[in-house]
Amino acid sequence: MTNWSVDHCNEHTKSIRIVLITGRTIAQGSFAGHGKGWFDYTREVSTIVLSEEDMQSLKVSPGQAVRVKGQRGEAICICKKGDLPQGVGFLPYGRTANILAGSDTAATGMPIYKGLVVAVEA
Amino acid sequence: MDPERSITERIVQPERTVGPERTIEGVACTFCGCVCDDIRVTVRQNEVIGVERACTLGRAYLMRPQHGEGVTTPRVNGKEVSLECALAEASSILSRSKYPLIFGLSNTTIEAQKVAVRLAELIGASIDSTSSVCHGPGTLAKQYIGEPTSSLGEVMNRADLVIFWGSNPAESHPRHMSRYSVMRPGLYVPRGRKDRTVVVVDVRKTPSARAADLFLRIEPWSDYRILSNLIRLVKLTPVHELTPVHGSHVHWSQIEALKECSDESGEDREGRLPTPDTLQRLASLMTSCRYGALFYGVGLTMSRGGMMNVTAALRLVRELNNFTRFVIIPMRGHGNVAGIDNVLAWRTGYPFAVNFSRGFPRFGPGEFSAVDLLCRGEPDAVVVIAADPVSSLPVSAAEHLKRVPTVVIDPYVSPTTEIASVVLPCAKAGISASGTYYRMDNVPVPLKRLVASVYPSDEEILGSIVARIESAMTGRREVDAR
Repeated sequence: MTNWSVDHCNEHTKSIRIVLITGRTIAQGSFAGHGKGWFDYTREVSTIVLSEEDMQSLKVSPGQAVRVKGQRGEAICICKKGDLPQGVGFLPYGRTANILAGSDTAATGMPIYKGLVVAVEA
Repeated sequence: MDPERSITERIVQPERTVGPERTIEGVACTFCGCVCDDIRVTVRQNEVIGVERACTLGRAYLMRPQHGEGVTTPRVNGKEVSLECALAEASSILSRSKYPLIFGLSNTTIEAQKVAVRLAELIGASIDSTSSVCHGPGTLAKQYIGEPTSSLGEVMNRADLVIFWGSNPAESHPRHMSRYSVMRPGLYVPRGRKDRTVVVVDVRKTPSARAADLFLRIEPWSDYRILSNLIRLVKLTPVHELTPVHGSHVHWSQIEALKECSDESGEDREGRLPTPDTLQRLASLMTSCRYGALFYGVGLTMSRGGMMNVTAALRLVRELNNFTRFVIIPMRGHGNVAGIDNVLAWRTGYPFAVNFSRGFPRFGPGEFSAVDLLCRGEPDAVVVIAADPVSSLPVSAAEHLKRVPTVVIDPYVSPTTEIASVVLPCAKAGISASGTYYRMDNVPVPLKRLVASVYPSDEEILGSIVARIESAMTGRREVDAR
């Protein structure tokens, strides 16, 4: 597996670049069904899942806040450890993912929501 | 009865039947593209109080009280008004608009979708569904390659090899595996799960991957490369060597051999995912099954080159049909997103991103698709039907919605209703409004009306707006003629 993050790790600012995948989770879908005004929904769609190695590189532990910077905007997320390859992150669909997604659709109508290159700062 | 009066009066004369509990069998859940129609719902005093057999997502959706925290009254610029007043304001906005957009439509009935297309034609609007931001690229690919497909019932009865590519049904379509594709015994797979081989191909090890016989972890952006390699391997396979013996299933030895060339996470020692040997064996598995089904998710369409990814998957399935029966079905997300593709296709000839500004339908993904139109700031009015674009579109697209008059037809409060100029509360399809939904395999499923609603359906609201605009246009023509 290509290590996407190590080449871009910045020791001074504790910043790494990762490939971000956004997607559905049971919690996000259930909260969307209940209503998007709930705190639990906001927390779910603002929780980024990172690999153990990436969390060590950032020197953060689960539950801590990280800043995620995309091409179009940036957002504060809570990090969570998950079974992911190093250099790949996961974020549920929602407002945070919309901030990070670009608007270019490559003439298909579909902006890129999977495989976004973002910077994560501790 | 005057239909116009009937929908505007209903809101001040709420129908609330008081009576004992009643259980309704065979209810269709409208949350996701599975549209499971075996749900049992208990209703008391006009509210859904119990849901059985549904998944977590379906239960949350069906149990959500419509009128408790929903949109309670029509609103114009944040002020509560009568339905009559809100309909008049919506019609006025759309009549004045030069380049409107109609968006959403994936969570409403095909009856309402048909009226929405009529409205688009009438006002010269662009009409696009949430299909363009989920499986739109796949729909474009189908136009080039074609789609060897089947119903989910056929997959349930016949498939002995099921592949999920870029899809995580355990979380996005929780009953897909148990009801249609994996667990349920079928006519030619009587032992259900034991007679099927399940392969998951994904970037991350999802809950679905844990339920599979084989998980192949791939790198981000590598779908097209891997699918193309598989096409080549399948094409190089001599047909006579791998044509399956009648009645044979995929052999466990093939799965074991596949597992041997990769470790538990799907990685090989050299760090290439998957190995050429793994791909060769996967190709053999595909060509030697009796009936294969490839379900692709938005993992293919939402990543870079989405259309080409699906093109490669369709080509692969086409090649596989030289050896065995193989089908491909997209894992459609919203309840009736397949419906709006069908309705638009049969009404205009195109499945999404259709523009009527010249008086006839034009197809233009990238030009008339909602995200592109909104990001360029082109629409001067927007109608949103059963969708929440403020929450689901990129921020730059959602920002434009705040700058132009927006008419929202939705049973619930959402970030989009918060910014809307006109909010028209409606009955919820499948709960308080009947109609038809199309399942992900394009099979129509009728919806029951379980409870009475004080609100009109999407179809009635749109029909009323169309009638008002037509009436105003006729009046203008008559004045011009005089």
